[in-house]
Amino acid sequence: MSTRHSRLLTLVCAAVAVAGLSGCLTTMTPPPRFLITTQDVGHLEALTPEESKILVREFADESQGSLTFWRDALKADLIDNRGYRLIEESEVTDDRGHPGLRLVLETTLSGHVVRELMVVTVIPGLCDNTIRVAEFVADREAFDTDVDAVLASFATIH
Amino acid sequence: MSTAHLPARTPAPALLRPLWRLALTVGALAALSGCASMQKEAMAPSMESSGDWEVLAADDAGGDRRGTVIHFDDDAITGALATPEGAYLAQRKKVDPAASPSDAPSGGEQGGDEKGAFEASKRLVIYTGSLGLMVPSTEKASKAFITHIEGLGGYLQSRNSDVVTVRVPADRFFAVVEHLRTQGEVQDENINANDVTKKVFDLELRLQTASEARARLLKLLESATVMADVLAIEAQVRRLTDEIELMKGELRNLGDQIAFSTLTVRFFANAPAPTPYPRRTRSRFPWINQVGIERVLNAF
Repeated sequence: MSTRHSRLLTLVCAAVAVAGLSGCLTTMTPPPRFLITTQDVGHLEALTPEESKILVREFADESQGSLTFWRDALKADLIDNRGYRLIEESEVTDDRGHPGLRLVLETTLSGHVVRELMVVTVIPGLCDNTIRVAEFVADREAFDTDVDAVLASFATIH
Repeated sequence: MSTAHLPARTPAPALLRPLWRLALTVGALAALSGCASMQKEAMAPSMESSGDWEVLAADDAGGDRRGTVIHFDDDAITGALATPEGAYLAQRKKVDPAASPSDAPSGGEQGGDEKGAFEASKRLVIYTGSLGLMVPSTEKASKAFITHIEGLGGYLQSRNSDVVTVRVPADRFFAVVEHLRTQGEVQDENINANDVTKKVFDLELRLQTASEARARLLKLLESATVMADVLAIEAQVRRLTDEIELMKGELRNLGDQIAFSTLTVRFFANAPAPTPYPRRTRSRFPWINQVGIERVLNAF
């Protein structure tokens, strides 16, 4: 193969690789004051200077459970087992029409009240589903300040 | 036959007549008040005053310290103001100090009319008990126990944390103890039975005697004309009244303790102490175990 052909092949492979990688990377438009520190396939981390945290992860669901099933399983563990207090619960839909569940939970750690916004989306697949979990955790005061902006950012997760 | 040779009677000195009358009155008072004190060891004040009356009577009689008007025979009175009850009592005590009214001689010498609630054939017992009970929940168990007692006609006397003291109708006492055995595991049990039959009988007899003595004194008071006599009789009436009230109070207290038994129950819990948060068990779904507030805070 000539040098020109090998270079062309390398470029094509690189392009394909980049295209493939960028298609699997989890992306999100971060809310104000948040810095994305880690961005990977099915994994994203962001935080503020005060260390309010956003963590987005995707899990494979071979059993392809429904959103209703996962909602009940989540609440059984988080509320009944771990003792979290359920503040709010509602259904959401991402911008691609995938049904989701929005939970606002609260617990006390070392005397501090900490809240969490958890958005769980079930993405159907051919062989297995993908469960995307986006979580925002902060002290009560910081949570109340940023929760609306974070919720809007969760809608941009791809 | 001429009576001129017969020696003339020497009239009693005029000065002594009122003294003899006073001595008679005082002696009568002493006798009546002594009737109310059947047991010398139980009525020490009255015994002392009886002694005083005896001295007074002896002094009024001219210094002879053996009273010549009223004679005391144990707790009974013989002589001018002896009563059938008193005579019976002396006789009873001589024969059998613990004799019950059913052993009393029939007829007129019966020891008064025992009109109290006492029945010779029925024992009067005060039941008290304490129990230690292991239960799953002390709060629930103690509340249920109090409700159960109130349903039986009993009531709560005191409650201090997990120690509950109740008053139970005496005829339900043992049923309540049996009920408790089904509510938990008995750690310790202590039941006491105090037979107060004789005590109640003695109290009622003393009360009756004192009441009758007071009634006689009040009659005597109506006919008393000398101020000293009046004051003396009134003092004795007051003393008897105080004793009567004391005995009535004691009878009421005994009656209450007989009618309602006292039971103290200490509840112990055998359930594990509740933790501030529910104990976490891992979800069977791995991804759920990876989400949550602590996971996010520890992830990065």
